[in-house]
Amino acid sequence: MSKSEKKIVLKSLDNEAFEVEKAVALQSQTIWVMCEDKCVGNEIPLENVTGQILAKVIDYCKKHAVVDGDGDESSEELKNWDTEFTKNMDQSTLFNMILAANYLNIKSLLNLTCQAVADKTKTIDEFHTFLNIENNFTPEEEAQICQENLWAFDD
Amino acid sequence: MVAKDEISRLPDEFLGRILSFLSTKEAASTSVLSKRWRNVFVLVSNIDIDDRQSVRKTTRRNRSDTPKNFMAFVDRLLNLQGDSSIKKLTLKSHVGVRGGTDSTRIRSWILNVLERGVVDLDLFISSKGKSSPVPSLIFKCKTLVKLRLARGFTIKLPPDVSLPMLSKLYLDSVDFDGDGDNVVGTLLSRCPVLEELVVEEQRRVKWNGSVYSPSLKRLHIRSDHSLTTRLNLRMDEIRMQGVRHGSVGFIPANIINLINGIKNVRVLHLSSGTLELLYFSCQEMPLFDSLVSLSIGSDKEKGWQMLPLLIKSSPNLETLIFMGLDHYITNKCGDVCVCYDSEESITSCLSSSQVKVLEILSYRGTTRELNQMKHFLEKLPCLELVKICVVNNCSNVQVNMEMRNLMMLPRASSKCKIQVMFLTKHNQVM
Repeated sequence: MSKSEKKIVLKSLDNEAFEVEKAVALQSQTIWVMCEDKCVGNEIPLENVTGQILAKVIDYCKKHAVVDGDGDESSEELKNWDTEFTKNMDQSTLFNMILAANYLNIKSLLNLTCQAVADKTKTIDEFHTFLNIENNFTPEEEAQICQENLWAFDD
Repeated sequence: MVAKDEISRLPDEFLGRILSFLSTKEAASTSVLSKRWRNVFVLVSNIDIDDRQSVRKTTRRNRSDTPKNFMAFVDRLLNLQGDSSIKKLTLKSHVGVRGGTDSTRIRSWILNVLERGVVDLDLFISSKGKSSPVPSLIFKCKTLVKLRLARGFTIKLPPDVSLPMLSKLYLDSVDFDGDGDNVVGTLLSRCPVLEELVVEEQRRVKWNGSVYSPSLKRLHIRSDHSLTTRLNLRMDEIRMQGVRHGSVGFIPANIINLINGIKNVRVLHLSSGTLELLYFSCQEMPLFDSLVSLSIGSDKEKGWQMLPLLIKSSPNLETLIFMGLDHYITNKCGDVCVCYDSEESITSCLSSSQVKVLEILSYRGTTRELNQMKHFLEKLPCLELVKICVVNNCSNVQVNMEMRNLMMLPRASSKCKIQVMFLTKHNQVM
């Protein structure tokens, strides 16, 4: 196999091109299927992902391609890396990462990003502040919902 | 700049996934966020509920309502979920305590998730009543991969037990109703892909019979009970092939069979009590051909009498880990330690050992510990790395003095490096 066949070019929605090792890119089931399909050449267009988000996804895939298959210690290190990776992402980035992980079909990344949202929103106040959700209930409606799920609110 | 509310725009599927990472109570509290979120919590694929999660701040008057609210909540949630598939149920519940959760309700919830293809059941049910809160149908579930049962109730196994997918079984003080039959043995024989078995005994259980599981890779047994209590638990025969990781914190009465059963283990942890018990019940050891890593608990009341034989029986041991160097002084620790200065034992079992890595996880820097380290360093010929974690309240000057003494010790292996880490202060490698 020549050197160029091991590499693959991913092109984002805004036409940014990323050359990556095939092994890194194939963590995406979507890209895997595209590569199986002989019609696509060495360049794969990803029409739902911006360059900014794709760069982050590739970072994640690179990290996970290297460490996979190693012992316990590295999996611990990988976990810490994952936590750092999502720690400072804002709502908008997480939103786009979730959609990208889903589109590219990378299950572990989808779980990681969903968990990151959950970790930032343990309480209702955190939900309101981090997600900036506007409450569109009338006080009567809100009281009724509390009544429906009484146990969830009695603390 | 205020962040736009984008997460709410995600399709239901993703919101359900996000809320599945929270406890179900936290997830349900999102129902008041906005109209978008009103019923999103129903989409969770993991249910994680604890009937005490709410009690903390309630006033006395409300408290009596809590179990009622809890039961109504779970009933409503399961009803809204219908027959959608579910991955995991974590249930922590207190039955039979004044005004606690109703055990028939618990049974109906468990039956509900069993029908919906649950793969992971984690049940902690504190039950004072006679009837088991756990339906025996659990033991005929075709989808279960992980099962944890706690604590202190008795289960009647159905005659046609079958858990074809079960890979991890965790039993915490669970007894089986079986009139002295080999119930646990039967159960394990019907779990063809079981890889991990964890048994904890917080309350006495009465098991007996022979246990055999060819697929088992990890075994973890722990008990707080004294030996006399333990005698109620008899495993006459534990045979395990290809056990890769074992951890034994308490020992059934017939320890020889257990030890023979785990002789193919690769990683083994023995508590200090187990190590001493080995000495009192075994005269000889099988050959631990596959053992590469051995760790030993530390207790100043328990002796190391068995350690020389254990090391001699482990020809391929590479890593030796001590939780600490404290142990009861005996004249039988032989050539592993320096309890008694016996000049005649010039040939030490350590001298023929292949151990490359020695770890001391808790080191206080006493003279006795220093002497012990001197002995290890002088005798172990293949040492490449010694890791020492220092736990010390003394002043830095004093610790540094002690560590300097340690670093100066003569070493049998010229390749040997010593790493010292200070647990309380910042890490330091020397």
